[in-house]
Amino acid sequence: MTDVTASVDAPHDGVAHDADHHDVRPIRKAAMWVFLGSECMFFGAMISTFLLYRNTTGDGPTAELFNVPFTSASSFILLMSSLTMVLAHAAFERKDMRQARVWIGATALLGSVFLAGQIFEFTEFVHEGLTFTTSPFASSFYMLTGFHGAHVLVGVLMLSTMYVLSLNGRLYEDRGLNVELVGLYWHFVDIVWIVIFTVIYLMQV
Amino acid sequence: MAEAAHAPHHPTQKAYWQIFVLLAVITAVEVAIAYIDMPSWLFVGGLTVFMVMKFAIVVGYFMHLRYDINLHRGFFTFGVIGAIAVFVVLLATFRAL
Repeated sequence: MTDVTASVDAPHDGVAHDADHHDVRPIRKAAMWVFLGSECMFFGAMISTFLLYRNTTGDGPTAELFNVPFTSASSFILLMSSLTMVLAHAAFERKDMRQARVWIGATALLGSVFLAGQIFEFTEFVHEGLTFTTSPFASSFYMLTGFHGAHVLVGVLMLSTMYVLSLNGRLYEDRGLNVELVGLYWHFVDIVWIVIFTVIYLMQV
Repeated sequence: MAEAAHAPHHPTQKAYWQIFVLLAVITAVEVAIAYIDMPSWLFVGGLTVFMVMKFAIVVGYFMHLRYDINLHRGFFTFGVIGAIAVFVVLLATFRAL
């Protein structure tokens, strides 16, 4: 971070405030890293559970149902959203609010496209007979990818909020840490998908 | 911890695009490997190596952990090691390794 964030959370009326003497920015950022570390263990447990049950398909569909080309395209979209997110953060650091807004909007849009793809994929699977209760394989698959999708949805909501705030001129230049924290969360969603895509999709076909 | 909000050197915009192209190429190679017939140890090993590379690149350069303070690196590394421990213990418990 540059000095853009030097006055994060400082009042905009120029009045001295106790917060100036008790800077909570380092604590907020550290808390985000602690949160992301705990999320690693959360997803680690879910991926392990899937691997445990990957062969317990009963009479239901197996991993052969997975459409790797389609999921590869989804992965590319999520990967691209990580690029747009980091470009948004960089633009914010340069105080280029217009560019930052464009990249934030692009990130939210790409995240939405990824979600739409996941909904389409789930719908196709259900039509093929792979429902949540079909088998332990199906349950663990939907739990893992569903929870990841829920994380993407939360990210899209945060990004959309930031986009609307910037349209209203309420995404202040001195709130760079907020953009950085949302960015960290978004990149985390991407790295979880990197693991899911490889372990759940590519290694099972 | 005061330096947490003042990471010194972040990549340039051009570097971000180059990193993205690298990630896209690795992903393409991963997908290609999935369609090539090869021994399972090579298949799983190769995909794992590429996955770890992508993971490390995004964490290091897009999340800027490479330029961050040791405390943050420690928090995240602890989480990753915890996840690997959960993976090994769970699968070993059920003899699935």
